[in-house]
Amino acid sequence: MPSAYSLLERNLEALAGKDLSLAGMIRLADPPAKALVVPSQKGLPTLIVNGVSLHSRFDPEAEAQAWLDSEEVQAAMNQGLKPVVFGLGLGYHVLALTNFFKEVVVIELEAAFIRLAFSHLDFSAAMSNLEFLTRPEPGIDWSRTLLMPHAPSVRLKRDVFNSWVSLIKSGRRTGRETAAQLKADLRNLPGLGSVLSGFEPGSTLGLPDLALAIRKRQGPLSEGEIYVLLMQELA
Amino acid sequence: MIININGRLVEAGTVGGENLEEMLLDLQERFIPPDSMVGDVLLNGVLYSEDVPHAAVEILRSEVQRLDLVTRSAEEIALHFIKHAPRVIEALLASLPKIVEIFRLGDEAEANEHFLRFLEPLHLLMNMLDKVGQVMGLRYETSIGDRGSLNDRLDKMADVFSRLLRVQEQSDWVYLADILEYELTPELEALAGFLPHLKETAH
Repeated sequence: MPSAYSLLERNLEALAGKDLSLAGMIRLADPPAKALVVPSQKGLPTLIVNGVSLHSRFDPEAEAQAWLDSEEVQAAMNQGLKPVVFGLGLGYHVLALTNFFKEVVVIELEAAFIRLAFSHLDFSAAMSNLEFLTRPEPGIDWSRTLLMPHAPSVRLKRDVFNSWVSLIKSGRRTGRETAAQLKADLRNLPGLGSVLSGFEPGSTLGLPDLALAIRKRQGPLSEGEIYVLLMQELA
Repeated sequence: MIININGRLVEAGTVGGENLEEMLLDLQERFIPPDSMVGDVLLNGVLYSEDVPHAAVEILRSEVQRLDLVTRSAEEIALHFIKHAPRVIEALLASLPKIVEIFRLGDEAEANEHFLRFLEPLHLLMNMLDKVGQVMGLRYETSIGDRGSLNDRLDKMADVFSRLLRVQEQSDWVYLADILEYELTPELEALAGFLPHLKETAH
């Protein structure tokens, strides 16, 4: 059994071949808080976050295989859609998908969790099928995709998931509003207040202005910032 | 209102309860001998049975014009239960895969609705098995072949049941699905294996 370190290195090397920047970010990430990897009954690692299981504590691989029979996965297979998985966990469900789909997009906002998954499961053979998103990226065509929630991940981050759902489905905002209006409209999204605080409340601004301000920032993005970047991408 | 137990009239004013369930409980407690139980219930002349547990709560006292009860001895009820228990366990086992699937993949609110509807008959099954043993004087501590004893099985079931409730309180839905799939299912199957012996011994 390869050590966690060698698995991590193998996975990072495979990822670096297509996304050097993300590989670097993952390498530097600290372990996620309140995440515990424990052996399942079958011996494979499983993940518990904030005391709640993200995968089966008995047989996470069998659970992932059963997930392939879900409505969303079957719909994607039948309609030739690209799966967009919300939530990586340790990645059993993602790896199961790569046996059936040439391209799988994985939305996992925290590089720390990707590092955790990379330390415990071997993604290297499937890496060419995988695209990881830790933030909205320009140039993604969402039209032939199907969002597939990993239910335990959604339960952990329901607000973020809902943001991605509305953005991927439609969410086009055009035109210009005042910073105060935008703040009111988007009040439920954490982190946006600090971005908007850089603008006069009465100043009119559009998505491009906000997106530019966010892109200039350093550090991990908040949910509100991700929302804006996605909206800008869809506009 | 007319209330009748085995052809004997009971003064309606002496029976408590704001709904059918409360009325039946009061009747069982105060008007029916301890070694008997309510067998058949006719509500307003029509045979009544609950399609879901506690459905009788929804029937208000004001809707009851006539209530006829036929009691059975505890022994009759026990034999009736032993006869139908395999089907009860079969129905419980058949409902489990769907509940497990929804807890793993779907909306936990929906899963919990199904789960609560599942828990009640499971709890009743365990209670009835316990009562049957007492009523029929059956020796549950005796080992049957390599199955162990029914006592052991019931103890194990009780343990699984209380863990299910604990995990439900922790909102760990994946783990709850695990317990249903990998622990409760084999326990129910093992319990079903005891029933033919129970039937033989009871008769």
